[in-house]
Amino acid sequence: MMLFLGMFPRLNHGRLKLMALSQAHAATFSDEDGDNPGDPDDPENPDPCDGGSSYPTTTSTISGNITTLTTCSYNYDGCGNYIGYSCDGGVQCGISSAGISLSETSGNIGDDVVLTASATVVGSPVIQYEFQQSSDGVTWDDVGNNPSINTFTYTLDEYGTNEFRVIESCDCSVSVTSSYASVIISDQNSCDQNNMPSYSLGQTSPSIPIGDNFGLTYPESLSIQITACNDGTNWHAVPINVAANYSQQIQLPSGISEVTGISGNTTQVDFCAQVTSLTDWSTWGYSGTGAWYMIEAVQAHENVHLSHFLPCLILALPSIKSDLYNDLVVPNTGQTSDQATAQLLALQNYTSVINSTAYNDWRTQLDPVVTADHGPGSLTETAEKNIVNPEISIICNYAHQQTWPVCTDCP
Amino acid sequence: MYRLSLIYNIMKTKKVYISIALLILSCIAINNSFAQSSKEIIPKRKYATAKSDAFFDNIQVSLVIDTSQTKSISGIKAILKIKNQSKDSLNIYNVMDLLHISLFNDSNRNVAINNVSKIFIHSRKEFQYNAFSIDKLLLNSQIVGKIIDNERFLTIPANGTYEIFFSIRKIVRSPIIKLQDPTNVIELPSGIYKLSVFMSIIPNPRAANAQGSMTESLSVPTVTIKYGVK
Repeated sequence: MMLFLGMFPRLNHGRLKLMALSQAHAATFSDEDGDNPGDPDDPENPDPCDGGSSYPTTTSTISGNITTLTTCSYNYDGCGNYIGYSCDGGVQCGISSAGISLSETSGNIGDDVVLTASATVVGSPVIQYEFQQSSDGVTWDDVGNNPSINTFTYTLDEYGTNEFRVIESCDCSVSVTSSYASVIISDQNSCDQNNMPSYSLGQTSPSIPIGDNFGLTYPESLSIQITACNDGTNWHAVPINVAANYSQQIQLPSGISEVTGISGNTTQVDFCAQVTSLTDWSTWGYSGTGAWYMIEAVQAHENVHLSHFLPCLILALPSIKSDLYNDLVVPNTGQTSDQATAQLLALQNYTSVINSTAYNDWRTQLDPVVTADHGPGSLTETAEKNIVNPEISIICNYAHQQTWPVCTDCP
Repeated sequence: MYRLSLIYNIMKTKKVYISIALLILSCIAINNSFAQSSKEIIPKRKYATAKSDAFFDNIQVSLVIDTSQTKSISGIKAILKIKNQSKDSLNIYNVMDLLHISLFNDSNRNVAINNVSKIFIHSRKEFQYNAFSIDKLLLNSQIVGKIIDNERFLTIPANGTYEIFFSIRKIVRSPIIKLQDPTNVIELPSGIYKLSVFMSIIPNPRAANAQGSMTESLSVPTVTIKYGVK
């Protein structure tokens, strides 16, 4: 988009004339002696067209959110004839993008959340911040119009999702609106199925011995804290917090030693056996048939599995919430929420809903992902090879430098 | 006298035959252990990835279990039946790797051993399930002479049915005491148990008829089993 500010040059018989200014400088000049205007060789008979004027004009060009101010000087001789123009390189100013961050992503009624605006700028714009709040992402209300400070403290007063955005305007360009960030306030006693519980992942002691294997990262159990919601007829269990518990065991099984490298236990005698062991991959991962490996690679393998545990728990939360709501129910007889919660906890099927139904909701999400972790080109293979391959290179290069015997498994 | 003796001998032989026949029948009954209280339970679909209905509709899964079983060294026995109803063979991840068993005792505690399968354990040796034992495998009613503990995938031929006979022989004495304590694993005692089986069907992503990542999760409704009790 192009905007022209100030006075506009206008074409006239091939020449640009500044019309507004030409009236103020309307003197008529002629070349009476027949020489060229401004002839420096004729000082006794100065040309009336010698000298002249220069008229600066500022042009504002907006590209995206950035304004470029370009000043051009339109030059005229003493007779008012246009003789050309020159422009500066332009000065850019504006807000490229606006952002907002929140001090909390979940909270309770009455909590203060600090909204912090950020901006990516060009030049030196003077920014003003206007914070807005919405519960539906469609209708936005101004909550804080702060001319110069990029933070605003908002007191949460509404259940559900509170979305916030900021409109940043400046003295030199168009205003820019940020994307939104949200704070969720769950009404723990609401039967609204959209309110999700908080969640966490923590390590616990293993229920299954690792045996003579490399590693085992296992989703042990869920610990779920509940409250009760009343739909008028019944009280239903509502999860407040879902804590997933995992165990992790890693080791080098019996008969396998750690490769500690050229500064450690790699010698002329052992280096080829070490390299052969480190490259000993079967279809489903490291075969473990050699005598050497690296515990760090085992850890990397297990961490791939572990990386799925929390995302899969988050994916399972709607199912967990729904299953608890549907499977743990007591009639509403006028009891309080705390009394109803105690009754729900005492239900005969409570243990099976938590330990089986909800747990399997987690496994529903987790098992397919972990299953895909193995096999040729899988994440676990890549993770392990990222550890062992550099070690193989170091050992083989060192062996080559030392003129040790050729090892066919060296790359 | 001779004729009487012959008739007696014939009768005796018949008795033997009848006895043998009865013994065989009872052996079959014991072997399968599915008497009049046997149930074939169709699991509920708990979850399925989008656009995968056609694939999973061709797979019919059921759990056959006798709700009243005598106590034996085999523990609680069940059959997992997987029928491929399509005209193409199906290649799926070994369902036993994706089988989760919950066994609630009369104190309402889950005493089942966690099925730490090949999808979680980074093993290097022959694998064997610890949560259950696979006793027999039938394909179209014929015994398959291989152990599937170490199989990553199962291929079910077109219109074929796999029947996986498995048994729960051991449990944890207390879920609170971890399995690291070997004294915590005990033979399944008599009692009334509530069995819950959950499983996923996941096609081999490299199989010809698999389309991206597909999963179906199935939940067998809780079934009460009288084990060694009347």
